[in-house]
Amino acid sequence: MIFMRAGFFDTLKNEECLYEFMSQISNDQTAIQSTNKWSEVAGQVIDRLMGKNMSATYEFHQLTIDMPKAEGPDGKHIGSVKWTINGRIVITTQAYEKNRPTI
Amino acid sequence: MILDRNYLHIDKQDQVADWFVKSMKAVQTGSIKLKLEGDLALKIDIINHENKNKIKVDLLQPTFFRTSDDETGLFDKLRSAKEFAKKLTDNEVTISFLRRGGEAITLGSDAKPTLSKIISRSDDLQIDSITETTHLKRDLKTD
Repeated sequence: MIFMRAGFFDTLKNEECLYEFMSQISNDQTAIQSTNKWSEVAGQVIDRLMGKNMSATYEFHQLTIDMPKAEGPDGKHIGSVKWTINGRIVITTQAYEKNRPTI
Repeated sequence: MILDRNYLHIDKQDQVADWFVKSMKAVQTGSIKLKLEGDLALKIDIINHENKNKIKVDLLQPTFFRTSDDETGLFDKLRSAKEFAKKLTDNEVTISFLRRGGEAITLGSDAKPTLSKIISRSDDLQIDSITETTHLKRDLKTD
């Protein structure tokens, strides 16, 4: 009986979520179209991550990048390379007043 | 009920999108963690299987990734990013977006949409969990 109740409430919860989700999609159709270019969206996210007075730490663990073969002038093969990146990059941003008087 | 517009539109000559997808193809394995103000905000895991790349982007603190001054949130853009998802499929790349460990949406090569195809009209975009999708949408939208 307990399981039946749990199942019933789960179903109800999922239906509520589905209804809410569908309603939101419906509302989206009337939403004003603003930023819609990939590069602009990427820029906004980067701006957000590089905000004022922020500290961001990027940690790389066995990140393998396989650079494919490239062709140089006259169809010459430049060759390929595999990089493995391990380590940490810390970026700290600080805002300061541009017109601050100097001593 | 059906989205007719692509909120996240990619121009044919958008080199940033091209470069971005090709970079994702070049990254084979590994993981990247992003800590903001000391707290883990994002975890990216990259797996390569049979020359196909699968990238799992786990938004551990989704509110950090809100885009400001926008009527539609970042998630709406991703959910309707048909052109971007197609580009991923063409390059055999899959991106899954997770919210605090729970899979929400998958774009690209491994996406196998069933019901979500009715919403997105795309073969390259799958909604994994309506609950997580709803939460993620809420988290990424500016109040």
